[in-house]
Amino acid sequence: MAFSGALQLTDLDDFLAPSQACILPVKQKNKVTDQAQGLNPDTDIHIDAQNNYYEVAISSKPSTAAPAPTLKPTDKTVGGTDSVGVLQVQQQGAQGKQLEKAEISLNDCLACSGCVTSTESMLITLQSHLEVQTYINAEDDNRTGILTISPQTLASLVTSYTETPSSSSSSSSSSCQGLTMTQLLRRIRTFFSSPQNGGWAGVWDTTFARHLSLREHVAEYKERRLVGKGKQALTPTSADDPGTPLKGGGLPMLASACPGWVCYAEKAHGDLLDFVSHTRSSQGVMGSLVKQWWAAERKKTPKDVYHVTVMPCYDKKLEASRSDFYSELYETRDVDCVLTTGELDLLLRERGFNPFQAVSGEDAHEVSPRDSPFPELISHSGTSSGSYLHTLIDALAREHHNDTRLVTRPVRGSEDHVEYILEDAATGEIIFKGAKCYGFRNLQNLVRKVGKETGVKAVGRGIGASKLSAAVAARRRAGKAKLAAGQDSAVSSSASSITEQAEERTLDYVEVMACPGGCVNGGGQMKPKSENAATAAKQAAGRDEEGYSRDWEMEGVEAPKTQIDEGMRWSTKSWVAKVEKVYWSGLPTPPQSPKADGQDQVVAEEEHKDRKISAVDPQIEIANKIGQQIIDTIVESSKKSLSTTNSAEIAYEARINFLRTRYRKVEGDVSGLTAKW
Amino acid sequence: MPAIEFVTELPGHAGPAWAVSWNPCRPILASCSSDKTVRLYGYNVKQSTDSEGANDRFEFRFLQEIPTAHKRTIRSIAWSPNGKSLATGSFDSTVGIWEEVDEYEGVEGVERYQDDSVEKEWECITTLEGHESECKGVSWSSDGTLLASCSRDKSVWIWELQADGDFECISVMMEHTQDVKSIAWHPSEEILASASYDASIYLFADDPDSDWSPFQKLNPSLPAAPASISTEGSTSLSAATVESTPDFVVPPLQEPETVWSLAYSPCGRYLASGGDSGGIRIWERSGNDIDSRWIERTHVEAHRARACFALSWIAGSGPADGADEISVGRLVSVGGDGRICLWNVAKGEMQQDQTSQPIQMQLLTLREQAHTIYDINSVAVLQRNVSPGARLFATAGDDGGVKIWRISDM
Repeated sequence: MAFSGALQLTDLDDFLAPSQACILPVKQKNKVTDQAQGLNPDTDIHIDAQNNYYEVAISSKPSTAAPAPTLKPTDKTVGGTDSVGVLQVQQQGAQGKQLEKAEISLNDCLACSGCVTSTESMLITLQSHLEVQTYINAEDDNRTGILTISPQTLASLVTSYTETPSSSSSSSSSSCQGLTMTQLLRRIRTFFSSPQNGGWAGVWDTTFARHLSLREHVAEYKERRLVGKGKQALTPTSADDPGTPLKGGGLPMLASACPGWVCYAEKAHGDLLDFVSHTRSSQGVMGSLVKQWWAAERKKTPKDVYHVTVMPCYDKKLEASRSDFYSELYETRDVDCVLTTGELDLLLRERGFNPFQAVSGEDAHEVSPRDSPFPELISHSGTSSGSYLHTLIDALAREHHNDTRLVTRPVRGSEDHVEYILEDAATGEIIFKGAKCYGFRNLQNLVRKVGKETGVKAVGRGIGASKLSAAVAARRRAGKAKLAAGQDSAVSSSASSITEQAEERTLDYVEVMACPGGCVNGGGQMKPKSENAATAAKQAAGRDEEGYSRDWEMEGVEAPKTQIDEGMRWSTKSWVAKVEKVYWSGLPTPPQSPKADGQDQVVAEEEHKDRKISAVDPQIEIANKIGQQIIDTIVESSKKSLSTTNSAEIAYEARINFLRTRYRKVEGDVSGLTAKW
Repeated sequence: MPAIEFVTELPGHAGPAWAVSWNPCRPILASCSSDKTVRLYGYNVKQSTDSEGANDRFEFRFLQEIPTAHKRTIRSIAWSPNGKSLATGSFDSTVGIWEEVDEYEGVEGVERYQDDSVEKEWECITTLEGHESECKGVSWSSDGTLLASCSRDKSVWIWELQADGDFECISVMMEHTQDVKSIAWHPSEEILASASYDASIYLFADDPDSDWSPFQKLNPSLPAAPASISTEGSTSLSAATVESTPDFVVPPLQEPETVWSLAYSPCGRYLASGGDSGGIRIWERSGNDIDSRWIERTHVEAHRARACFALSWIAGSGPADGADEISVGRLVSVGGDGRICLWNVAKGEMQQDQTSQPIQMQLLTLREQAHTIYDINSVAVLQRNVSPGARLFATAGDDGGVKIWRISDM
């Protein structure tokens, strides 16, 4: 690239560096003391053969700086660089000082765009299946191993194991019957419990933790409802009081189970953090359960337990490394290592696991208490991303004095952005307006909408403009409606059936997920298998059958209309649909309303009449009971350790510590936009 | 023989000027700069008695400066097709939408600015956030309901104008692997093109069953051919080309080059792209479907070894007098070499196999050092026909200057 004849320094910056926002402040320790001791400030840094760094005074003369006079040329040629530092240290005694190594770990990750999104190599090396392999193979690691697996992971693995490249989408249901999520979980448990595979003390799924998380989620919603809409926290945290858990801001409450969304909110939308739910995700609660409750039950310290989770998503690794999930007292994390679904598959394959090897008791209805202290694979109807919204709607419908009606409306016809309005069946009064919002694009609109509704973001200054734009927008809408009219006559009527009241009502709750399709489509899930996957991959890499590098389009090969990436995208979509199907089919009770048929339903109404009288699922009842027992135990144990008399406060604090967390705005310095290069 | 005549210079920016845009409905020219301001100029035509308009005079005057709240360079500006909104894309990663607070709604602007009385305030009605780093380009679709933006964060975003005047993001497309330099909407259909440092162009369309997605990736591949020179202007032009010939021979480009600029021909059947090594390529649509393939037809040397930063077609530029080719139109290009080039683009003779018809680009005239030694960053042809005998276009350069030029003898 040629430079301009009149090159000027401006803030133009066209050259990309991968991780320029990833800057850690350099801490300088003991500088002052060194100078106070009268040490010569002129020093060199030398490296020895072990890659240790030494700070070495380059001149014993206290006066002017003489650049490296003691380094004779022969030193370099004879001794090489290695010996220089050593020689200097020997000659000058104590003046050579070994320097501390700077270490960068996942804790320091700012989740800038630098490395996390472009290369995930850093994450993979720090929390990889290799680390788990090391644990399994280590003779002297006496920690008790616990492996907890998300239900989305199980669904993805079952799909991947049962789908053969030749099986078409229509036969998928039959092939799924070959393996259920419960069977797979129990087979993995048996596999890992054997001594040669690490002798893990527990292999559980995370649905019980999710159950606790969901209950706490509802409790937090009710606390926030008392605060009101758009209001900031009752007890705002200050910089000098970082230890106090937030008692909750107002509404809308935004789900926080998705670490991708949480990272993004902390980085780009700090002003919305008050609305992000403080309830721990199911992984977070699982961490509490394993390290705080289960370890104590077994008379172990948290450090004696090695807890590995398997999640559908890479960002869960970031979540696990948050400082809130680190116990200073026990020097341990709630979750020691997070694997993705794909990494678990790799681990299993490397150790020779056969998913079709049946194990005894794998079809038992109840899990034996010896195998798991918690109920297994609890079904929460709603979405495959955790059913946060549906659980809340259910709870609110139950608490309402009248029958209720649920109206759903896809925003822009998207399955990933749907509004849910809960109305009083008799009066039509709106009790609740929630939404599920998946995927980065929908998230953008959510952020704008919530920012506008709560007033924390000034999206625009003037309103005079709206009239001008209205006419243009209306034209487009009319055009679109005309197009759609041929396919679906309901479109035109849909607008009128949503009342103005519902339009005006601001959001109370949003189930936010960063991935389109939600957690079943997480970044760490198994990749779709397709018949021509191999050819497609080759072509995508620009290689022909023989492996020669080729650019198809350049050579005038007119690719058919179904292009490579288009084909891949389609297969991903249908693959996710299969995983979704497996996710629900593996569960004992069918979900209430998963729109698995993909129907572009514009407005759906659902009577909640039956819901109220319907008996609670016995599985849920058991989970509730065990959950309460665990919380009681936690509260009891914290009562013993604290001397405060106010027991209600202790109970609250203990529950909060066990089930909640908090978020911090990532300061603007690292945004990369303010940095000048 | 057409010539590029200097009309006037509009100084005022305190930093490099990055883009110019003519309001499609009213006599306003907007320019933006690293000084974080947008400057608006009004103009009128003093028509001469001469019916051919050869002696029409153009008068420009400074109207006002929008200070904007952008924190860094404003890299691009675009007027909406109805002329009422102005979009600004800034290195501070945001896009601003500006509208006039106007109590005379519906009054034709021409009269208003001619009577010199009122000056309306331009206000930021909304800010579109989302890009992670420098926004490099903004562009409105032909009906003004969609606004696209592109950024160094490698993404292309599409926003849809809502009935309440706000915008909703309808797509974020992450196909590019590098900085996206510019974007352009098709003149009548909802097709978006994006050009990038990754040396490719993507074409996006709305998939009715799904979301917005790319339907074709264009990989420039033809080697650059020397520009053919208009016979009329051969002496002066060939002198210019000879002069520019370097002492050493540069081998034909093998490595991929940044695509800097894009411009659809007014008929919508051709797309011009400008590259980092100074060449211009013409792509032709092979069918009439929304996702019909686009095929590279020609690649000519234009700006020596410097980037071709901007391109603008002249709407309604008919076939050159009596020539037997079928004209595609005329194109103005500017670049890092300080040159303004005027091209005639035409279809050549049908090949024997009857499948492809080559495209010929002929250099009609050029202007060296149009902004002295500085790069020219932007060019925009005034498409409103204000004077029968001449076409105006504006350029913006690193010297902070905005210059108005006139093509005579069209």
